[in-house]
Amino acid sequence: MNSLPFVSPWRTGTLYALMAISIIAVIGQLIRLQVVEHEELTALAVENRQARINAPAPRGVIYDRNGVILAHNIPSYDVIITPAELPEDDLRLQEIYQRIAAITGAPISTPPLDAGDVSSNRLGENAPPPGITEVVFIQESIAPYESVVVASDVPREVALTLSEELRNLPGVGIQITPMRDYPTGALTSHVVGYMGPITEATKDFYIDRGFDAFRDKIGYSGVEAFMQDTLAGQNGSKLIEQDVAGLELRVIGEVTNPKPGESIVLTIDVQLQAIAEGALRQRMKVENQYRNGQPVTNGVVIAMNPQTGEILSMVSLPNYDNQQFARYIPIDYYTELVNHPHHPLLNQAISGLHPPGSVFKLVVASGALQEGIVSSEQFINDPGEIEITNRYFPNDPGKTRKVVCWKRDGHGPVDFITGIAQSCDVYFYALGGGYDDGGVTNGGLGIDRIYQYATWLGYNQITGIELPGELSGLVPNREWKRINIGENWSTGDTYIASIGQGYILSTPLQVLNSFTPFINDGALIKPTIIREILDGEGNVIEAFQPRIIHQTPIKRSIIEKVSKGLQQVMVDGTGDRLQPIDGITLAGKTGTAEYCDNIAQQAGRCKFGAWPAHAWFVAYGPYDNPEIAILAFVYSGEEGATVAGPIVMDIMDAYFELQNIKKIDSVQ
Amino acid sequence: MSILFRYKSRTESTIGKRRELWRNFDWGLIVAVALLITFGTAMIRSSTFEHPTLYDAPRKQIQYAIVGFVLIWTLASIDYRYWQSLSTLLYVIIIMVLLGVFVVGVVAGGAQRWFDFFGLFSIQPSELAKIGSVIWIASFFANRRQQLNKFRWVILSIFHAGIPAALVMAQPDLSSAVMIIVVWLSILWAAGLRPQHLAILSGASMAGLPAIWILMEEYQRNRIINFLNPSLDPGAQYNVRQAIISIGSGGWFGQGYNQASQVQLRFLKVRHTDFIFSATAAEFGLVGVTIIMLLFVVIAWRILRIGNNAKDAFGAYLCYGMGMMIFAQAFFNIGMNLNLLPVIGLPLPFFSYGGSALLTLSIGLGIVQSVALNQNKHEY
Repeated sequence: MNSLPFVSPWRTGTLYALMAISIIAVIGQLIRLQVVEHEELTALAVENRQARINAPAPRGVIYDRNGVILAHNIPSYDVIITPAELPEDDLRLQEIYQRIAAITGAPISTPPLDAGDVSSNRLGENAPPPGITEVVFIQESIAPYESVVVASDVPREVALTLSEELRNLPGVGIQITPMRDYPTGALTSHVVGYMGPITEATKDFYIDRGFDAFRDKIGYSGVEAFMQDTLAGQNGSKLIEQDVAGLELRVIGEVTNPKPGESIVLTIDVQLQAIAEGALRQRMKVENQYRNGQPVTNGVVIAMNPQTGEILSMVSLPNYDNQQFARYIPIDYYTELVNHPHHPLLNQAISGLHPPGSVFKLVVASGALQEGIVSSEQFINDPGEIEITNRYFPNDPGKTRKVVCWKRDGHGPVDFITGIAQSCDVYFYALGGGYDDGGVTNGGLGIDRIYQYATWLGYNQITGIELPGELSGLVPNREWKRINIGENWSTGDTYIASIGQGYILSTPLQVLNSFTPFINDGALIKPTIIREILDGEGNVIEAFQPRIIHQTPIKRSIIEKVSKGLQQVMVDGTGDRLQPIDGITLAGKTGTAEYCDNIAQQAGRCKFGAWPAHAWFVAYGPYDNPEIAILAFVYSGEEGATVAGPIVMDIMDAYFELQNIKKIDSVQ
Repeated sequence: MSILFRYKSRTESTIGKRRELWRNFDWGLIVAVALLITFGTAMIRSSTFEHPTLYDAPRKQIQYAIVGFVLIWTLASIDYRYWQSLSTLLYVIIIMVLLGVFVVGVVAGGAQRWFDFFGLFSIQPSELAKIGSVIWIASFFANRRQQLNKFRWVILSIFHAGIPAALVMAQPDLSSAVMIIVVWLSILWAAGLRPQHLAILSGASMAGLPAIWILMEEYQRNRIINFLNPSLDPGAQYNVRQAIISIGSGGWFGQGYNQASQVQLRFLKVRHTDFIFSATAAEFGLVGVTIIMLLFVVIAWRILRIGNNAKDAFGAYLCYGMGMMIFAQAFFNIGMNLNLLPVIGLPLPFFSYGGSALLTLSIGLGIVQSVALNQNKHEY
């Protein structure tokens, strides 16, 4: 009865054969994976569990000269998600999203766009924050194995609460990034600067130096940019073992500790800086009260120790708030700054180029005296206006040009000291370009020597201050005009150049620095913003030493004469109406430089004979042993003595008052 | 109890006969299964070690295993031929249950796969359908063994097996539907499908593939697309990639129990269920997984051998259906772990964590043991 073949043996055999084939396929694949590709796949497993962590080096702190913090680091906590490490189960996923949303307050999903509501713009400032779901979805489609921030800058307590739950939240992590904080904000923004992300173009450069191109930021402007290498330090690295959630389990291999960046003490005195900015703003406000048309908004104040070159304050208005750039660069604010006609992002003290006007007369004065064009006792008559005969057509009255002194009825006979003190234009025309009727028959100093002396006084070159974006300005000569304008140099050009007008352009810092040779026996001082460099523990590793750019070959006697003239400015010259400071003898120079730039042209202000003018004023004191030199520049300020002058005097006053308080404090 | 037993001769001593019967119990099969469950539980423990929600899985698996063994012995003691007489009723009941799932089914994991019995316990009707399909397909062919040379009956069997398979697939549970098809094909072949008919079937299924494609759910299609073209969705291929890395990192002898970084640091997902083979390969290497495969070969061999010794065609087909289903499920699972087959969501029999699967497999084994107990010749 058992003879019935329910299943024929050959049919059973085919089934066994099928099984054998499948087993051979499996064994084959197993051998391929576990024997042939074992090494590579093990390496991938190691790669999975190991992660090289780039440990960020804390960036150095920036202090003012008295230890006030201008830039430091504060921690910022971000909640991040790595999409590939999230659970596949949708319920579990929703649980995770809900937990993050509950703790951080980040929305789970972006609210749908309201078609009728124009304000629900996804890109504008008022756009709703993107939901976790959308952020993760987008990241998953771009780089599922890289983390994405779903809630940024959460409070510390929130970060701590969440970090305790990370084990139950696969794919979720906390990222702590040091954020730059600028307590003094706009007050010091041009000096301190701000930071931004590493750009694609510079990525390789910084990665080679141990930076994490996605995480680390670099200085974009100010000291942050110029001293980037000093401040940044050296990132460390360590090899860790991590689980799928990115949780660090243990450290394997060698650990390179990050080397903290060095801190920098600036020469800036924040107190004086605030006074300077206040004085500048106050004067502009007063000016704008009785001025119709274009209000004055653009100005520069620089205060320095003229014997050491230490910059005590550097104000450039309009300015910007670098604190707004602390986390990221907000596009709306940035665009507003970039499109502003006066470029608030630029430090006008070193990047603003303007005709120096009468402050340039120092160059012509010292040059003419040293080269024997005039003697200091020689009087030149200023009739108010003189005529320049054309060099090539001396007998053609139609080709003569009239040049005028700022004082239209003339200063009368003017000697060297009075020339400087009164800033007599005709006197300087004579010195620069010759004036036969006035007794300067040798053709004056001439443009070549003006160029030479200007260069000696620091024009046409950068000062080398430790700030990015410094411009060298322009002092023209024959060659320059031939190349750039395509014309030959004319006597008229020399006349205009003699009073700091025409093609001459300079930065406020250059103008201020051009006074230092008259304070330091001819030495052109190198202005500096760095006082000390400190290591991580606060020890001084590099202290500031005064440096000179070069020793000008101007004789001591000449320096004394020019200085005397500068002193006379305050006593019986263009600056004599400024309120003197008790017990302090000052010296200074006013400047009112006519200009016609694109802004003035657009406003239709470039009318012949009535151009708008910038206001300049530089003063230093005490005269015998100057410890402070202050420059004020007001764009379109019209009158150096009345607009820029009071600003300088206000700051000067405050400075000496502060010095007195310090003296009293130290006595006590 | 006595009515459950149907003996050849009621005059013989019942006790003596029973003792004789139990000598036919296939201990080799039971030992192989017990080894797989033990190894599997150990791997479940390793895979869920200190896991916040799954730490309890090994204990639960042991509990299921105990219930499973009780089920094996219970069902072994029930004469399998009862199932043949009940097969039509079972067929109707399971079709009803599958339809009922759509009505009262509890939506779990996005699929209507679970049937909740008043909150007491929940079972997967598709798991029951797999076991049921073995019974009714075996019964179908046992009853029509002589007519199978006519293609008409082959076609009829397609509808017979196809209706529950389609319902299961509609749940959607592609893997269970595939298993029902495997059972149908195995028994059809064992029962004597003519090779020329097989050729026609193959040709027809080639032509019918587009229809199946349309019937499939989006995620099932995506899984197949991902298998055929992994570059399409890197996110979906994550776990297959991790499985390959896990297996490869195991090498010859593995990284050791509770030691594989891929498993312990949870880079491998669903490592205690569908991808437990990869976890085992990582920790026990080629040697370890070869043991698993040997155990499956032993199980398949013992079950087919019981089928060859079966007293009747129904018993034989039951064993062929069950044996091929277990082996096919093991092969499909291992194949998807090794990236040889698309990931269709299938646990490794007796090894992966999961009570529902373990209990239904135990029911199947119990029925197979019943065939063994009632076989004709004794083994010595």
